[in-house]
Amino acid sequence: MDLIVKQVTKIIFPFIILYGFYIALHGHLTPGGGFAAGAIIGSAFALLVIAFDERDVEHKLTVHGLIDLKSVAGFFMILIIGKMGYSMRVVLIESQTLFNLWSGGFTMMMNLAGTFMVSSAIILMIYSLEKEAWKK
Amino acid sequence: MKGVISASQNDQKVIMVGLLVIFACVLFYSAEGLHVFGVIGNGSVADQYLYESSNLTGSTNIVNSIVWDLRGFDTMGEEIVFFTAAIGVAFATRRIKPKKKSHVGREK
Repeated sequence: MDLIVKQVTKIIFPFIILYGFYIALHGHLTPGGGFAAGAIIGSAFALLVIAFDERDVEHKLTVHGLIDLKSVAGFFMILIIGKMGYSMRVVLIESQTLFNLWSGGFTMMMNLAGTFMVSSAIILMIYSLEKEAWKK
Repeated sequence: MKGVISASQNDQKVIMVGLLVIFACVLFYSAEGLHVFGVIGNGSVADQYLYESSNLTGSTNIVNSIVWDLRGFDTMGEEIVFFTAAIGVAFATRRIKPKKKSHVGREK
């Protein structure tokens, strides 16, 4: 793409990632959550792929790395839902105060795990389709 | 296969219709016990979600607490469906490397 698009992408890319993690971490306080945060982070990587050549981007995150990231996030999700018992939930929630950032019990961790799952799925789709477009 | 069920096809239809009528009667009988739709305060699970979700999950965003904590298995299933679609896209657009030893017959 253009030089202008490349430079603007370089500047704005970390801020989009930061905004995505803000949405994920504040999911239990403000509108938003794991799905929206994952979509924002995935759109940041889509901008990166569109602005730069596919060969410049691909070595950072491979397909197998994305699948591994999703697997780890899904494992943590199952751990949070299933294995942590009711008593630990009560202890965790009673140690927190409402309306603070460190509140929400398991909801905050579930938001983070879901963010990793959604963002890895979107990045995987975008990379695959971009590869198909560059193949010729 | 012939001698497993001794009843003829007419008898099978009669049995099926009878079972369906019994099942419909059970469904209508159980529908009598449901609470009124759209009314708050009759002890349904929606009331519990509305009034106690901040105490149960500790999060003040009720929608987020339902989606990511109280209905967490549902959300995990959605994520699995979504990632299965992504893996399908990656599988359909993968690059097939040409085998190096396969051009022996073609080139020479």
